[in-house]
Amino acid sequence: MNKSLKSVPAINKQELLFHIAEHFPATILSITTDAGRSYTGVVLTIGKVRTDEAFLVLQVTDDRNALTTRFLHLTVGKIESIELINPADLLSILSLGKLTKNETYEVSGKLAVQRGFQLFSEAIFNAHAINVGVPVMELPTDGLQLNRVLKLTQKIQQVIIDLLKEEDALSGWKARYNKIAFINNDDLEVKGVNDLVEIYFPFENIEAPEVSAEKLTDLLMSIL
Amino acid sequence: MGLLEKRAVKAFQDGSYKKLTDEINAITGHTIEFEVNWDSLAEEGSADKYEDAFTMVYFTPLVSAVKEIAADDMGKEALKDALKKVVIKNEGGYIYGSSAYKFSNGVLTIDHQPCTNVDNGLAERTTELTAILMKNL
Repeated sequence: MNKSLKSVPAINKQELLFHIAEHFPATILSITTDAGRSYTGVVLTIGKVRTDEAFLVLQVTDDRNALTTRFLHLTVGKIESIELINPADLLSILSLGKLTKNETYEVSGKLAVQRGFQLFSEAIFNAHAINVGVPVMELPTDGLQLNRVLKLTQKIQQVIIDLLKEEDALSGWKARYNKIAFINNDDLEVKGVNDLVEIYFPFENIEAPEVSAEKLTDLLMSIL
Repeated sequence: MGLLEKRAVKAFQDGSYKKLTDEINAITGHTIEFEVNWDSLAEEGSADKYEDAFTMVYFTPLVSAVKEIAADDMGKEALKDALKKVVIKNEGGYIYGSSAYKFSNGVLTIDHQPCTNVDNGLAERTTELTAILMKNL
C-alpha cells in the first residue's frame, strides 16, 4: 500500500473533498480549521457559490463515530487540514479514483484458468463474431497467481469486447490477428507479431496493480 | 465392530461400493485408487443406516463433483493428471464439508462422520468438494 501511495499525484483540499463527497460519502473526516478548531463527521454536501468559493456541510459524529444532529457549515478555504479516519480505499481517495487498492486473490487451479481462457475466446466471439483465439500462456503453479491470471483474463476480455465495438478496430483485428498470448512481464506491453497479439503484463505478480483498461485499450489500438 | 456392523459393511462393500467406485472411474475416464478405513466408518448401533449414509456422505458428493469437472475433455484430463487416490475415513469427527476434505499430492482425503448430517449436509459437501478439487486441478 505504501509503495502505491507514493505514486499518488498531489491534489488540493477542494478536489479531495469533492471526490470524497461523490464517491466515498461514508468516510469520516476530522477537519481542523485555520482557527485551530477540529470537527469530526461526514461530508453532507459540498458546492461552490458565485464567488467561486467552495463550502461544505459536515454532519458531526460523536466519540463513537455515530452521526449526531449537529451540522457544520464551513468555507473550504478555512480548512487547515483534513484527516481521513479509517478510509475504505485510501489509494482511490487520494488518487481521485485513478488508482485502487490491489485486488485480493483466492486460490484457483489451472483448470479454472484454462476454462477462463476458453470462455474469453467464446465471449469475444459471441459479442463480435471474431475469433481472437484462446489465450496461450505458460501458467504458474501457485494458486494465488493463477487466480490473478484468471481475473486479469476477465478484465482483458472486457477491454477487447469494448474496443471491438468500434467498426475500424474490429475490421483491423479481423484482418490481422487470430491468435493471442499472455506473457508474464514487469510492465504492460502489447505487440502484434504476424497473426498473434502478445499481451505482456505482470500476470504472476500478485502485489502489482491491476491492468489499466485505458492503457491496454491504447496499446491494443496502436497495433490495429 | 459387532456382527451387525460387519454384515452391513460387507453388504455395502459387495453392492453399492463397487457400483459407486466404478461410476466414478467411468466419469473420470481413469482408475482412481480407493482406500477406505472401514473400521472407522462402522459406527456402532447404526448398521441399518450404512447403505444410505455411506453413499450420501462419501460418494454422492464425489460423483457430483467429478461429473461437473469432467463435463469436458479439459476437465477429464485435469482430473487424470491430478486425482490419483481417494482416502475415506472417520477420524477427525468432522460433520461439515468445510472441514471434511483435504487434497495433497494427488490424494483426496474425505474425513467425515458416517451417519451425521447425512441429508442436510449433502449440498454443502458437494459445493466444498467441487471447490477443493477445482483449486487443485
